Amino acid sequence: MKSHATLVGPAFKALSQCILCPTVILLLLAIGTFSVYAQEPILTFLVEPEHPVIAPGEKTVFNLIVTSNSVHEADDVTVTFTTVEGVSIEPSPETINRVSPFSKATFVVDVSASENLPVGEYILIAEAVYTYCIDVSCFQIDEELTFPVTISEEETMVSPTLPQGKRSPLRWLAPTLGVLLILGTILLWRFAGLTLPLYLVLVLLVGGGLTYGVILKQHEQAQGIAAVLCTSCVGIEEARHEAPNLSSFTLSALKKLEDDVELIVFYAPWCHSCPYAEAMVEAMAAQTEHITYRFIDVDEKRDLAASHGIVRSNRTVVPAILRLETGEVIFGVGELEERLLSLLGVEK
Amino acid sequence: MRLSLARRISQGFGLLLGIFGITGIGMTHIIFPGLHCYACPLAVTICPIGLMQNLVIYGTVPYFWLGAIVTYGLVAGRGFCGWFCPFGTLNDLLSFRKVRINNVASYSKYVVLIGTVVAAWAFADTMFCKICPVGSIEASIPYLFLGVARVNRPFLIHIATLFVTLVGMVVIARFWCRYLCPIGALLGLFNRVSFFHLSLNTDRCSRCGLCADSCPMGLKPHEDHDNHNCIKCGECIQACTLDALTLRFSPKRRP
Repeated sequence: MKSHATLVGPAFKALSQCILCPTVILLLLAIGTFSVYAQEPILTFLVEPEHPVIAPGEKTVFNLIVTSNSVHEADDVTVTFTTVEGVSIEPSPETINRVSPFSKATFVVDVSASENLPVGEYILIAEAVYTYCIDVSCFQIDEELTFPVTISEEETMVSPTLPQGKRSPLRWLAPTLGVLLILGTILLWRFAGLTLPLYLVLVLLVGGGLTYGVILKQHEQAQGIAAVLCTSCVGIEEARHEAPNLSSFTLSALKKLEDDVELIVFYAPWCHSCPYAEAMVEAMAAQTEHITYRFIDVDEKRDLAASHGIVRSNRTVVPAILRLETGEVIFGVGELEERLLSLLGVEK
Repeated sequence: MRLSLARRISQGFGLLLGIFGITGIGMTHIIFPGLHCYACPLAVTICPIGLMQNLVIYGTVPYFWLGAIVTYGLVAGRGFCGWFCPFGTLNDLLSFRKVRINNVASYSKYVVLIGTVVAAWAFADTMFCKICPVGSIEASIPYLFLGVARVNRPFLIHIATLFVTLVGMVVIARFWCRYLCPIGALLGLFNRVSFFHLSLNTDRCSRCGLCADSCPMGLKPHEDHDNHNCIKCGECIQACTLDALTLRFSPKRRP
């Protein structure tokens, strides 16, 4: 019997010498890139303050907050503003290299109005471009953003929050002091036998943590996480991130579909498998004009979801695909292609 | 009232809170002081480990979570494992062999805790939940009957981890609580300062070792009554013929 080393060596050599390999990989990447998939925006852009006001000849700063609602990482986020005569707009930084899943990033936008700019409402138009990848399939999202700006003779509005890029480096001082305080009290407790400082710090942590957490609405965030059953998150099934690949049987079956079907895909922002379910429905709908579909955040249509068993005892199960005509629902993404065909009334 | 009866009643309350969703009130803001899957169809409370993983994934500074965990730690530490946690109760019911094994092995649950955090950060997914035996009992199996889950690989992984844990629990009393429970690891950090604690009167103690024989966690209360693994179940108190051990609820004056 050959050892692992004697088997792996020649296999690796053959692989490294295979000139076809890079070609095949590139081809797969190209197919992946152009394959049918839900190229939906995964970032939202919000201006803070919501409605900047600026006086002619003045400058102001507003934050453009980028929020990710996806499990996928967004890369190379750039925002380019269309020039408006008399208004100079400069976002900083030029590019945000990476927005992690469910995180936020901020562009600081300097806006200055020329002295002879007439007062009134202006709409700033920007183009946001970024990419994200699911498995080997990468997509570029290009969306137009609009923000209202008021040019007024009144005083220029000052941004209510300090822009992220200009925050004081001393902001780390408080948490560092906090950790040192806890460590100090633990040392006092262990080596000097003083328990009171430790109890005071712990009680402070309880009061401060719960109070500040509630102020930040973290209790609602926690409730929201717990109230949604993401089938892949708790290991009821595997999360799927790859681009769906329809079989030849499915493609021919969809072409023969005669009845009109309306599907609703219920999703939640933190659901790992929902993008796959959405992509599968979109891929199938692209094959026939008989399928129409909608993607609905389950929190926005709780009554509809509850009436079809997607919300039970205030617990939401996602992803869920509802066929409106029959009221039938399928949950999760396991064997989704077959189950979705069955939902459409196609028998194998 | 006998201590064991009081504990069974308290454990009953833990179980009742665990399945309080039967009343139809839905999910609340309460973080459960034990391991109890929030995906359970009847859950009204939030699993601290499930939430912790989600907060790691979202990059949220966990003020609310930290406040709740320190509260539970300060009040009873691992007392919740012995008096409230439904999975701890299951461990209790299968505690046939109160064996004593090298206590160093019990630090493995800190490896599980750190591994849970690292895996959540590295994979941006709740990896612990996928192998959690509590999730097997409270989510996988119920959802199989509710038509949401199917017998597939993740389901079988859940069942396999449950089976291994159950076998472990039968072979070694409180196997899960001793070696693997991440919330037990968290609460254990507070065991030496928690208000609810085991107290030893050294003047009365004859060091006979009866308490050690009765301890489901394999500890030696006559030598170390403040151990980070002590679940404050009170089995040792009932075993002690000299009344040297008592459960108290007060701040500790000395470490």
